[in-house]
Amino acid sequence: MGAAKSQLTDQQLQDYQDLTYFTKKEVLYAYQKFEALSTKNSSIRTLEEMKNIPELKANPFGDRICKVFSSTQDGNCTFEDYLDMMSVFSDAAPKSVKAEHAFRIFDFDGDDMLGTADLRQVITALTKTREHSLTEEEIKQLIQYVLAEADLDDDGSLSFAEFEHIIEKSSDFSKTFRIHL
Amino acid sequence: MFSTHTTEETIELEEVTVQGRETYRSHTTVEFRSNTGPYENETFAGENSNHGEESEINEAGASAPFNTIRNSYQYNTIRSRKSTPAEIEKQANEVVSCLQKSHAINNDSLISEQQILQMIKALPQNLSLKRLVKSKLIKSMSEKSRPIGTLKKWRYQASMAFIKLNLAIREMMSTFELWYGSIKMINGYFGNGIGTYFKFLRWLFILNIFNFTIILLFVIIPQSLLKMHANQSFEVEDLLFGTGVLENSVMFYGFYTNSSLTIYLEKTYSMPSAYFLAFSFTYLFIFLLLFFKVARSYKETFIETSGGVYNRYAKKIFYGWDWSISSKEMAELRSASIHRELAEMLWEANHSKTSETYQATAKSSTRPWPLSLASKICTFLVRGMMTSLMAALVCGSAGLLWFSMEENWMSDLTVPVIITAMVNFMPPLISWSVKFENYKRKRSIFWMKMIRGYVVLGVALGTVPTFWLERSSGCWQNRLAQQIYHLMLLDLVLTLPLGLLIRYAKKRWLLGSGGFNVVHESLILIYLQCLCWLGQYFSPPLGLLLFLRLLLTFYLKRFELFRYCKPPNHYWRAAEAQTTLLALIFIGNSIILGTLCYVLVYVDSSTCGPFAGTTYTGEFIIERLLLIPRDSVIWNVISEMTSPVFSTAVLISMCLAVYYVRAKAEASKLMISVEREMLMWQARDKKFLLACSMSPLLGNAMRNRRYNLRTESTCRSHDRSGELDQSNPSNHSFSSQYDTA
Repeated sequence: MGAAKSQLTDQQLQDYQDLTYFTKKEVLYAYQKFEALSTKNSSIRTLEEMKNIPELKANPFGDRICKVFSSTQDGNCTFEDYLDMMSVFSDAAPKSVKAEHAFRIFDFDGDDMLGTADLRQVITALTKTREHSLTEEEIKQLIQYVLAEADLDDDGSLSFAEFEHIIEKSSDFSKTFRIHL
Repeated sequence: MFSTHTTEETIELEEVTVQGRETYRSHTTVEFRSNTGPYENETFAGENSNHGEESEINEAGASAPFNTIRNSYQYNTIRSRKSTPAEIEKQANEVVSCLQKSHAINNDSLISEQQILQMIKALPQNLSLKRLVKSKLIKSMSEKSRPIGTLKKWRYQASMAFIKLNLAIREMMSTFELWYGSIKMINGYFGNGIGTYFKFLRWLFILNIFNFTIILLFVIIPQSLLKMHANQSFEVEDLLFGTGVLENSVMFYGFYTNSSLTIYLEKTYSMPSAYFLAFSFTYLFIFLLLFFKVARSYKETFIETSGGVYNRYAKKIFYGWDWSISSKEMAELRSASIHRELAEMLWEANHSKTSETYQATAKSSTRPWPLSLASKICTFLVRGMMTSLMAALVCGSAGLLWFSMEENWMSDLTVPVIITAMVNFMPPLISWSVKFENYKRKRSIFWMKMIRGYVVLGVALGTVPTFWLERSSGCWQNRLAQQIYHLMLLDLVLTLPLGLLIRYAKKRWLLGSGGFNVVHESLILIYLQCLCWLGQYFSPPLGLLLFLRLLLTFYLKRFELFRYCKPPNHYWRAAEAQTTLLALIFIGNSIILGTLCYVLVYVDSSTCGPFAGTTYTGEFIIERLLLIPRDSVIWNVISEMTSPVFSTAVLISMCLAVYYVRAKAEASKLMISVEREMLMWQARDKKFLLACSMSPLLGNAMRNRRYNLRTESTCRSHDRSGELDQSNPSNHSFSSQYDTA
């Protein structure tokens, strides 16, 4: 604890408290956890080290999450990236912020639209287990149904506004889209 | 078009205007301007409209800064996040200039620092950039700021202080977050559904600590100072049955004195007043707390998220995953369950006769029911039979209970045994019976179990006080309290260990380890809490017993969960479950409060206890505590207000209000569906026009109005699913589709 404190300045702490959904104490706790992720004495955690977080390890989108939050976009995270991630996943973050990041996580090709290719990747990642996976035909059908439900302007892909529209409708989203520090 | 709508409709309406982000934003901006309250030039950013303080982002007019930011760097900056310091610097400058360009910061005097921070906080950018933006903005603000009026300054300072205080409280609370690690682990291994149960348990535990502390400080300790128990010898069976020395101690209502305690010379502490005030404070506090909690939870779960949309598939895919899952095993299970459910849904859609019309049914939020008339009647009969069977069973056990209390033969033993058996064995029976009733949806099963279980609890709990209120002679309060004490004691020493033993036996000798029955366990919690609320007025230290029980429950259930249970293999709607639990406990609380009020006003309490001497407790409160003489105006007003005429009028006006609000909600729903339709047609019109301008053939046709109209109608009747199969993620494919036509 003492060591952690000495490495973050007061100004940093204040900034972090102002700019994330955490209190100073939680920031310090996050710092400790971040430090524990790697044995090496470096300020950056690689993608593999980030996946020491059990929630990211178990998550089918683990790699994608790291990439979205990484400031270098290759999955390597600094402490600020890590804090940002945990802040978005915290209980206090509003639904809109969570929705924004969820959209970016699901948007694999980064074209700011959830197209059929993105949906296919999401569905595959979600349903793939050791024993079974959905058939190509089923996936196609699923994508078609999802678009029929959510694609309001009928352009064949979901824009952020359309995605947010689904999220707004759900009370469960902010309950499930979270990782405790 | 929109400016005529009221605020409630506004929120619903903005949901429909989802046509491209730009239009969406500008609509919501227009919307919120119509209800400018204290924030003159401020509007809420559309996507934040549901989030209290976070939503206080300043926007001004159509060129709202948040819009500008989102639109300008959503596409340019976020997607091409930079990594070198120089580039980050450039980006930060861009964002800062975006913010500064906005009306709000430059012209509208000064917006508070806090609001800017909220705004930056919500930006989907990485933290390093946010820090840079913050430092730049704060610097430029301090350079530009002009002196402001004293009133405004005071207002900002006050709100700042309030926010700081809020933050400090939050920081303090987070230190004391009880069982944090355990609950996190449970969430990770067993999912949010079971996590909800443990969180509910924790919440009740904390509530009871508060409750008991107040009772202890203001009721039990003062009475103990005066006299703790009668001079009798202690025997072990007294502890079991609550008789003998225990009956004549602070344990029970009858022992509390109706006199005053002399503290220092002339100062006295009136026991009856303290008794009444302490209890009314805790009961009222808990009632209000529950009331607001239920209302908020209900609003979040059912009102804000309904509105005629039924995203079955999108739901499963976009938030079927529980992000707090932290074990490989659980992740595997969750994947398997999502896979199974999706496959089931697809199968259902393909095999029902109405599979082509699914789109239509999805919109009207009903599911296709591929059932023939005969099977429908059969299901109906089975359900009716099961329901009446359950009802008969419940009535039978209630009759038995009444009979055994009336006979007074061994009622000390039989009553708690019957009730405990009812509470513990009926719910599993219900779960078993629901299996035969052929419910299609997991949700209906959940509701069936919950409601039936709750009725059983209600009957079990209601019979005892009803019996004693019927024959309120002698010190009936003590008898009632004793019976509740028996119940709690039996539950504490028998139910918990027995439950664990059964688990162990199941694991050891039978195949497999069952799941954790959240419905049953939650109902038990509700039962215990209601028992305590009912009993503690007649036996103040009962709260301590519940405190112990909840503490034990947490550790034993956690042990049971990790040792003997396997993770649930179906998706659990955590938010809905939480609302249901809160609502059920709130209903229980209201009924108990009603009963206690009845006791205060209509039941003779002159024999024993703190209010001995006056016929009704209510009289004591009004005459001695509030010091209102019998023939005063206030007394008259009170008696008028409790008259049937007045209460009927209140009831009727409430019904009218409910009817009005309901009609309004229905109208909004209708409006939403109309707007959705409109949106769809608009999009198709645009597509059609695009197709016309791209294709020379149709371009010519534009001049020919007859042809134009005909193609439009074919466009409209075009099968959507057909389009989707051919369409690529981009819009352009549509044009080629029409080219070929």
